Amino acid sequence: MEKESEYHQSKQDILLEENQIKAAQQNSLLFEPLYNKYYEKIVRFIYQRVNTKEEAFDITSQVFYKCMLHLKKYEFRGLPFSAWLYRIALNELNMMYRSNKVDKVLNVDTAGLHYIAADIEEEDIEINHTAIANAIALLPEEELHLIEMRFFEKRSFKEIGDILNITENNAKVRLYRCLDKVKMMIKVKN
Amino acid sequence: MKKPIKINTDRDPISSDEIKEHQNFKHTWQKQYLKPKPFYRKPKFFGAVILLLCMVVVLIIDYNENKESELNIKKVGPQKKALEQPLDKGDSANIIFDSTQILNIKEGEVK
Repeated sequence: MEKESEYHQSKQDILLEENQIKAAQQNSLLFEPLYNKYYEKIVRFIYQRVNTKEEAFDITSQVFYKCMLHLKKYEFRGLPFSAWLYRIALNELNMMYRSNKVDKVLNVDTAGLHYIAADIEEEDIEINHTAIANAIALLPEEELHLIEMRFFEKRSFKEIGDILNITENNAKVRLYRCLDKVKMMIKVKN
Repeated sequence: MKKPIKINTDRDPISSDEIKEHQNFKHTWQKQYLKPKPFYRKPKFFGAVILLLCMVVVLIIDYNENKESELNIKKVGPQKKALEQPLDKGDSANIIFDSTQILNIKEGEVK
C-alpha cells in the first residue's frame, strides 16, 4: 500500500508502530526507535510556535520526558503515535505560554499567507499579507493552532483532527469559521 | 489583557544537522529514570506518616476513654458523698432503691 503523506502511514507501518509502543511500555529503553523517528518532527512543530531554537529544544526534551512518563497509559486506537506526541507538545506549549516562561510567536511564511489570502479574498476589500498576519495573531489559541497547522505546516484535515481530538469534518468547519473571522477583522480595520 | 504576539515572517527553518546534535535519547531516558524520588514516595516518609497516624488514633481512643471515666465519676460522686456522711441521731435519709420505692431510715418503712 502506498503512503499518501508522511502522516498517513500504511497498515503495516501502523502495526509495526503498535508493536514498538507495546515493547516500549514493557521496557522504556525500547522507546528509542520511536524517539528517533519523531524527534525532528516535534522540534519543528515546537519551533514553529516559539522564538528561539533553545526554547524549542528545551520544550521538545520536556515533551519526550512526559511521553515516557505516561507511555504506560497510552492506548493504541489505530491513529499514528505522532498525533499523541503533538497533543502533548501543544499542552506543553500552552502551559509555557500561560506561565510566561515562553513568549508566544507567530511564524508565518509568504506561501501560507498567499493561500489564506486566496481563501478569503473578496473584490471589495484589499487584503495584504501584513493585515492577514496581524488578524491571525489576534485569534484565540485553538483557532491560531488550526491556521498554523493548515497553512504554515501544510497538514491534512485528518491529521489536524487527530491532533486536536476532533473529527476531520469538524476541523474543516472550524477552519473556515476562523477564516471568516479573519476576513471580518480585516474588513473592520479597513 | 492578551499579550501581543510577535510575528516573524519567513524565518529560516532549523537545520536537520542542528536537530540531530540535540537528539539524545539516553539523556531523556536518564532524566526520567535516574531522577531522585520525590520525598512523598520514599519509605521513610511513608513510615513516619503511618507512625503519626497510629499515634493520633491511640491519642483519640485514650482521650475518649478518659472522658467517659470522668463522666462516670461525676455521676457516682454526689451519691457516694451522701452515703459516706454519718447520720446523726434523729436525722433521716432517704435511699432510693428504684424509681418507685423509697426507704426512710428513721421511720424504717418503704414508701
